[in-house]
Parts: sequence; C-alpha cells; structure tokens
Amino acid sequence: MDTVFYYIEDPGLQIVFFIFALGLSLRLLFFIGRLSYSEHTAQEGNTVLMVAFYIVRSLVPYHKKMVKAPVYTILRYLFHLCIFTVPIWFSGHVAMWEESSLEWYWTPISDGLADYMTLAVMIAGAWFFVRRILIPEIRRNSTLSDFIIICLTVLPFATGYFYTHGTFDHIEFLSAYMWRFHIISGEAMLVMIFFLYCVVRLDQNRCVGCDACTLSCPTHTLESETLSEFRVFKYSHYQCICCGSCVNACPEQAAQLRHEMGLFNLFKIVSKRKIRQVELAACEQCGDRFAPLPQLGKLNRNLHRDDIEISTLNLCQRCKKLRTRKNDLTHEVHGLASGLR
Amino acid sequence: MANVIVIDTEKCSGCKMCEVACSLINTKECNPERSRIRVVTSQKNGQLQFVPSTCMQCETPMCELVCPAGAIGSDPATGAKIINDKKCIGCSACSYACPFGAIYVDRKLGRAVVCNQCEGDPICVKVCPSGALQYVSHDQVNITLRRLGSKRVLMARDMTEEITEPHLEIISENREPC
Amino acid sequence: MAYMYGGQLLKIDLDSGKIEKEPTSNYQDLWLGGRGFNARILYEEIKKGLDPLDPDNVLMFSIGPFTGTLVPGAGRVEVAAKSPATGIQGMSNMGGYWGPEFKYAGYDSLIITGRANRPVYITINNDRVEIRDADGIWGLDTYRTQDAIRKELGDPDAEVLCIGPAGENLIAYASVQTRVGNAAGRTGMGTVMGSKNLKAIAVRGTKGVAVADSDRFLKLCLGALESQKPLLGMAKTTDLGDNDPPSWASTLGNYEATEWVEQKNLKGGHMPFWEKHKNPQGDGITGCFNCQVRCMDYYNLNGYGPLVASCTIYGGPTWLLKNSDMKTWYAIASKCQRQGIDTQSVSRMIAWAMELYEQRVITSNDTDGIHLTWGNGEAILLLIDKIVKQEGFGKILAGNVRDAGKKLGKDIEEPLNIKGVPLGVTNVMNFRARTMGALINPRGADEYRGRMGTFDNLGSGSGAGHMTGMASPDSWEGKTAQKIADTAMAAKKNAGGDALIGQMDCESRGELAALGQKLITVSDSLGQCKWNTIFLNLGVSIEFQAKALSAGTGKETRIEDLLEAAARISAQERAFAAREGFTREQDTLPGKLINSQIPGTWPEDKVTVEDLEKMKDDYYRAMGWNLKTGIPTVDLLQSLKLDDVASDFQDMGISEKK
Repeated sequence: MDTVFYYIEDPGLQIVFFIFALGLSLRLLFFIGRLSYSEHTAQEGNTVLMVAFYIVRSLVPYHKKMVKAPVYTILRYLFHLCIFTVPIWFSGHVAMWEESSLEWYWTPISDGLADYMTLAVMIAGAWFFVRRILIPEIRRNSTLSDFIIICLTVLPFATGYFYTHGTFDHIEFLSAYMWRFHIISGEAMLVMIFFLYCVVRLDQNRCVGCDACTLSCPTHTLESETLSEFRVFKYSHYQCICCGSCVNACPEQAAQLRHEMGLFNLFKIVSKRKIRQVELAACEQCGDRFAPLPQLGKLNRNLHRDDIEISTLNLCQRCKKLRTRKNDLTHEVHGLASGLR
Repeated sequence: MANVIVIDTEKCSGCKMCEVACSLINTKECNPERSRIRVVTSQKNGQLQFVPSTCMQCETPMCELVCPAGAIGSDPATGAKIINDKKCIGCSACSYACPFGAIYVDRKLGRAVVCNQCEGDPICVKVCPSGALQYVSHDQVNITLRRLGSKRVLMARDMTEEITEPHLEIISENREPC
Repeated sequence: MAYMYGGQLLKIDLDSGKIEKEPTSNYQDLWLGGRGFNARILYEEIKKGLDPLDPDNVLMFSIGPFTGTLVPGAGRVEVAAKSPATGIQGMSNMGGYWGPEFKYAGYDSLIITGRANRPVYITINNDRVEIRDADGIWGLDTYRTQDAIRKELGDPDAEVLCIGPAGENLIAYASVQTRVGNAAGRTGMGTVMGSKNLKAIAVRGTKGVAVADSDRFLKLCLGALESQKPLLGMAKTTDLGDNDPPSWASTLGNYEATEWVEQKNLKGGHMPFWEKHKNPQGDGITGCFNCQVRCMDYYNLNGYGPLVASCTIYGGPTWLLKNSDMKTWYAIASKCQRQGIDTQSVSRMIAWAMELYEQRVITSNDTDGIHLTWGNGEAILLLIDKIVKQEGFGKILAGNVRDAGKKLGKDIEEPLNIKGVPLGVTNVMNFRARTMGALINPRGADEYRGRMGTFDNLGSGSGAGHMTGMASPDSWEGKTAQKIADTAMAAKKNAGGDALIGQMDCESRGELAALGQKLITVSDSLGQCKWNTIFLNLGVSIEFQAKALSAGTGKETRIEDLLEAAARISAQERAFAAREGFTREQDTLPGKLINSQIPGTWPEDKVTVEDLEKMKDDYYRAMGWNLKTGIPTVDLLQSLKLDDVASDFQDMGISEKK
C-alpha cells in the first residue's frame, strides 16, 4: 500500500503537473488557433480586443445574475477566487516548490488568510452541492457529473485543511493517510481540470429557438444554421470565451454557462457540435420554413392570455405583406409545403 | 406633428429605388435585404405585381406588445417606432408579431430594425418616381387606416381569404407633409 | 473590402461542370466592368476563326460597379460572345433586375464555356452555384420558364434570365430575356446560349454592395436624380407631351416611319391603344432597377395576356411591316418576347420577304402558301412560328442574313444589315451624325452604341445650335462636343464654305462619333443605362460618373481615366474584329442605302461613298487608329497597355504604326 502511495507522490505529482501543464497549453493553443481562424472567417471587428475585454470583465463579478441572485453570484466569485489563489500562494505549497529541483519561490499569503479562504471554499462548495439537491429547477437540470465536479474540487481543499489543522487526527487511519488523500485528491482535481470546460448549455425545456443567443455571441462561437426544416444550434468549446453574453441575451433564461467534463470533446478542434435543434414552422401560405415552432407557440399562448390573436402569425414575411396589402399572385405557383424543394 | 408614410400599391412600378435609398442611408450599403421598406414583387406568366410595405405606426402596436426586452417605443415627434439598441436582443418576436412584416432583425447588426421615417424626411418618399409613397400627417388620413394594425389583428378570426384593401381616404385636400 | 464591385468573376464550364471563382481585382483597374470585362476576356479566351456555335465560344454576362447601387438607371448587364451573325464580338445590353441580384450575390462577371450534354440551367445563390437539369423547362416560353424555375427553387424572389424556343432551335437572332420585357436581343446572344444547351440562369443575392464614402455617394446620386426630373417628360415612351409626329419610332427621327404614320393617319400613334389597355399596376408603366424614367409601357390586353413594351419594340411590327393594327402589333411583340426572338431582326427579315413577295420575285410557292402582303398580321404570326421551329420558309428567314438570299436560289440582294446583323428600325440615313453612329457601332446592327442623336443639330444653328433639345450645353460632354464642332466650323469657313454645319453635313461628325462611342462605352462598362446619361438626354453627365465612382470605390477616378479605359475597350473590341479579318472596308452601310433617297427625305439627304469615307477618316484619326486599315496602331496599343494585342497584330501581319 505504501509503495502505491509512494509512487503517487513521486513521480505521480510530476506526471500530473506535466499533464496539467501540457493539457492547458494544448487547450490554449487550440483556443487561440480556433479563434484566429474564426476571426479570419468572421471578418468583423477586432476579436483580440474584444476577447481581452471580456476576460478582464470576467475578473469582476459583473453579471446579470447579480441582480437576480446576488448572494449566489458573490459566493461563486469568491469560490473561484479562492480555489485559484490558495493552491498557488499557500505557504506550504510554496515551500514544496522551493525545495524541489526547480527551486521556484514566490511570496505566499499568510496562513490565516489561507485558512479563511479554504474554509470559504468548503462552505461555498457545500452550499453549491446542497442547493443542487434542494432547489427543484436546478436539480432537474443537473447530472451526475455536476456533483462529481463539486466534490473533486472541494476535496483537495478539505483534505488540505484537515491535514494542516489535524482535524481528524484522533482517528488513526485518517491521521496517517490524510496527506496522501490530499495528494491524491489534488492530483485528481488537476487531471479533472484538464478535461473541464465551461460550456454553454441550452435548456431544452425553456429554449424556444429564437436566435438571440447566437446574435449576441461576440466570437461567433454559438451559431445557428437552417438545415431543411430545422434550426440547428452549433457550438465549439474551443472558441467560447465564457463571457456570458448569450446567458444575458436569452429571454427565456434557457442559455446557461455550465461546467462539463468533456472527455470526448478534447480533440474536437475543428468542427462544432450540435447542442440544440428546433423545428421551423411552415408558412401556411407558401410553405417556407420561417420561424421556430416553439417560439411561435409561446407567442400565441402569451397573446391568448390577453385575448389577442394575430391572424398573420403563421405567415412568412413575404406572404404577410401580400396578405395584408394585396392578394397574392404567387400562391398558385408555389403550392404547399410538401411539394417544395 | 406625427406623420405616416402612406402607400398606394397600385401606383408602384417596382423600380426598388426606395429600397436602395433606404438601405444606403441606414446601413451604408446598397442592399434591398437591409432596407426598412420592402417591395414584394410577384411574377406570374408576365403579370407583374408590386407591393411596397413598411411600418404602419399602428396605434396598438403588436411589436411593442410582444417584445420581451421592452426595447420598442415611439418617437414623440413623428410617431415612428424607435428601437432601443441596448435592450434589443434580436429574438425576432416583433418580426413574427407584426402583421405587415415591417420590423425584422437585421442579421448583420444583430438587432431589430424598422422604418424611423428618416427622422421626419423620409428618403423613400423623396425618390419614389410613381407617387406610390406619400408622407402625410395623421389628421389627413382616415383614422381607420392607422388603427389598421390592431383592427386587423383583433378581427383575425372573422377574416376570410379574400381580403380587400380598405380604400385609402385622404380627408384634407392639402397633401403637403407638415 | 470590395467597394462597388461584387468581388468575383464566376467561371462555369458546361463540358466538365467545373465552377471557378477569380477575383475581379485582376481586371477592374484597366477595364472598369461590364463591356470592358467582356472585351478583354473574350479576346483572351476565344481563338481566331472559331465557329460561334462551337462549344468553345465564351458567353459572358458582365455588370459594372454602378449596377445595383443608387446611381440612376443602375440595372444593366452587358452580354457578349462571338456572334453567330457577324463573326466578330457580339454584344447586347439588358436591363431589368437580374444584374443587381448578380451583384448582391457577390459577382461581377459570369463566364460560360463549353456545352452541356443535356439541357441545363444554372442557379446562383450567393456562394452556392449549381448546374441543374432543365428537362422540365426546355421548350417553355420565356415567361413560363422563369415561373417554373422560381417554383422549382422555392424562391419567388430569384431573378431569372432565359432563352425561349427560338434560342433552343438556334435561330440566328435569338434573344436572352428577363422578367417580361427586358431583353438582350441583338447579335444572337440567345443563339449562343442555346448552342450551349443552357436554358436559363437564376440568381439570388443578399450580400448587397458596399460603398466607400456613402454620404458623398448618396448626395451625388440624389443630385443626379433631381437633375433628371425636369427632363423625364421627354423620355418616356408614353409621354410625348405636345410632340407630333406621334409614333414612337418617328420620335427617334425616323422619317420613313413618320411618313408612314402620317399616311395611315395614325393619330396619336400607340397612345390611344395604351390608354385603353394599360395595366393598372404602376399606372401602366414600369421600368428597370433604380430607374425613375420607367420608359416601358405595361399592358394587359384581354385574350392576349400581359406585355411590357420598351421603345424599340414598337417600330418593327408596325411601320417596318406596314402593319397599322395595334392588336396585331401586340400579338407579334408578345410572341417575340415569349419565344425569345429579337423583334427588330425578325421584322427586318420578314419585311425583306414581304418586299420580295410584293414585287413578285418570290411567290406563295416559295412561302409555303403564306400570303406575305404588307401588313398581313396573320401571315406575320404564322411566319414567326415557322421561323422559331426552323420549318420550311421559316428556315430561310431563321438563318444568317448573308445566306437568306442565296437560300432562295435566286440573284437576290440580302436583307438590309450592317456587318451581318439585320438593320434596326431607326433610320440611319437622315442625319449624318446618326449615319456615323451606324458605321462605327462595333457590333453592327444600328447606331445605338454610337448613338449620335444628341449631336444631330450641333453646329447647324437650329435648336440654339446646341445638342438636340435636352442635353445640357454646360456639361463636359456639351462643352467638348461644342469645341469639336467649333473647330470644324472654323475650318469649313476658312476653306471658303458656309460657317454652319447642317444636319446633312459631314464635318465634325467623325470626331463626334469618336467622342460618342467613348461616352457610351463608359456607361456600358459602369453598368449604368445609357438612356439615363446626358448622352441620351437624361441629365447624367460623365462628370457625375467620375465623381460617383470615386466616392463609391474610395479611389479617385477622373473623367480622363474613364475615357482612357473607354479608348482601351474600344481598341480591344476593334482588335477582336481585326483578328477575324475586319478592316475599314467593313465599316459601311448596306449598298441599297448609299446614294439612295428614302421616302420622306430630300435629295440632298443621300449619303455618298465620299461622305462615308471622309467621316471615317475623321473618326479613325480621332480614335488614334490607322487610316488605311481602320485598326488601332501599335503606338496606341502600347500607350493603352495592350502590348499583347500589339504583338498579336505583329504575328498576324496587320500591325501598323501611326
């Protein structure tokens, strides 16, 4: 058992750090490559400046959700700040780097601050875990991986804290292995980060297919395409800068930024994947597919609530103009939807 | 004083000058697809039909009603619909709701656009060679026409296939825009 | 960023199905667009002596930087290929709405080579270009073809140009049609299209065209449109004001037509007929893209269907065939549009046959029993059907002008034609300025491309001695033309002659023709309708064109640059002809029209060979071409950056120094 643990530390840690460094470099490379290519094809504006702006902006808790859920937003911000700060600036870790063959040193934070931050991580993490079970809306949208991500993230901090403060030293097994658990969970977290992405998810139950999200995307990452009678939403995690524009734009709160472990998407650099598909309604006059069916349905329901019906709702732009201003010559020429194309 | 662009579709000879001028002044490119006034052209066995259409400044505007972002309002001076660029998310709800197909989302801008009467001096009216477009004040046009938007909408269930265009009545002799 | 231009040349080879795109920037600096691109690329791609119906003939549709913009009359497309009628470069200009759509799809020129092994049509939707089977539409008339294609594509807004059965059957003067009444009729461009088994080209574009300095461009265009407004009354087919003679053909200064109209007492010409049968849409008039002139009459006659008639469609089926019944005219015009035949050419051919019949040189035995008496509507319609099907007597009339007489097996003079294209319906004989226009039009046929009507009265002292009626004497064109006339008048006076230049005098007409040709070439290359320009008296000057192009592209272009490009294009078109063996000898009128007086004119109107040769000398001198051969000199070619043409000439042994 001890030998296993020995290897987990050496060369375990080195291998993990290497994978971590390599992985992040690769991903950065893919990201820059993809973004440059998309700038070339998008031909609009200065993407570099825009990306820089969004990255800088993401360093402050500026998000639409501040208005709706201020407590959650602040907690989330603190959480991420702490999980980034502690592992790098904790004095214990700094000492290890100094003692290693690399002999790197930087000024650590005070141990007291590190403690508070670690506790913050544990408390916030616990809250995130619990709310994901308690709040029905969120529970409905959650998958197993969401819970795993929280656990794997909090575990290194918890075990680190317990180890440093000897919280469970009275239990002999835990006392002996706590630091090993710390190392293992730390390695697990580092490996997980390699596969961890922050991606956009469109809630199938809320999204009406209106395209507000794709129009708001500053990097043309989120795109929609018409394929016969469907509007298909495509997305690439390597192009997304997680700015949250789509989340802000969505009128149905269907667009969300979620953590996802993308084991299969690691090398999907070039193509985009389909994340949502919506049927387009056919114009009742000419059969042209002109609007997302769910969106029209929702519009109709809302209008009905106010006792209004718009007779032209199921007509495309062209037929609408002809219907409300004049009779149409072309309906005899174009026939019905089934006969087209 | 509020005015409205009144269209006599039968006079239209289909030249598209209104579309070219409108798109040029608003988007800096000549592109009928991005014009706020559109002429629908139908052709069948030599029969040509031209139907220009733009915003009717409905008294109960459907676009304003359905907008989830509250981005549509009215210019107090001309009565033209004004879209708040910052609020508009480009969801196209207004486009589907408008009975005249006058408001739509411009893909390049990512937000809705509609005729704003060029702030009181509409260029389409200026260039139209056939007199199909006229710029007329509200009190010179039969008020039925302006209520048209809501009236057609509310009467939807009673409408039959053959919709006849209500006759355009200009009440006053004076056709000068104010 | 491509300003004003679509950005790409689209090359389609119907043999292999290969579709290629090339940047327009390779050609736009030297060749402007439209007619310029056609001239250059046809010279580059076509070998000397090629049979025009051979698959290797290149058919081109080119638009200019102005096409699709707010420039007045910005809807034009230049169609060109080696003409089956002339054997040199054929060219025809077409209006409508196809051109702007092509620009919005992102292209400037369509270059078609090869021949498809079965009937096809091409569809272009922005970047997506496809060649599709035309099985279901081969044989349809031009109106129904467009409907069918729009239905098949599921796109009611696609613009389609197509040939009719006439083009499919390869009659010599088949046209390319678009919408209802817009056509590229002359020189048999439809024939070339039919020989490639290409039925139609559909296009849809949504990219628009970008403008560099949009504020300045907008202001210029609005100013030009404004300047046209007071002149519009005289340009519409239907609006003749207080003008008498009434018939449209005669307002083009055609004495023969006027005489006939007066003889028949056709009071009001076609106006009463139009009043009665005009289509309610657009108050009975319509026009081309972004044009406020709307020169076309839009009819709907019960039992005959709709018709859109531009000015030239009136002349042939009426005065030329001596038919005074408007319903007959309508039936003929409608048939020609639907079948895809050039009305002027077919009228000229039938008129030729009618004259022979009336003179009893041919009898009903030759004409399959049809009584080809003047103005016999039934006979005309029957004969057109036969021509389209290339049946019996129709086959003789459906072929080339040169062969028609020989085919009848008798010693018969060929139908009136210039360089092989049947003569148009406007009279080239009365004013020398117009005669000159007909002589030097690169495609033959008529005087439209050297359209000299504006200069008829210049120097004559009448009409204030200025350009005919409407054009502004203060414009660059007006001042330049006046200078030419003044110089000629001074020279005439010094030589002891009368100080004035009358309408029938030859002085200055050659130089004016050179000026006119260049101005028209500029419009044809920019994609603007020449009818809208000052040259055809609608207020838009080359000054506007230079400024608008500068504002639009963001690159300063001066009038001199435009004229230099025009000189280059004219030289290139001339080189194509020279390569096929054309010289100054071919710049002539039909023998019948020389030294003859036509009805309605005076004895002194007769054109002599002397007149022609003198005017030609002046013209070649003004163009910088060699006087002996009428071919561009090596010096000129080199100064115009046409070194390859100069060396080709050298190889062919037709190279001439100054």
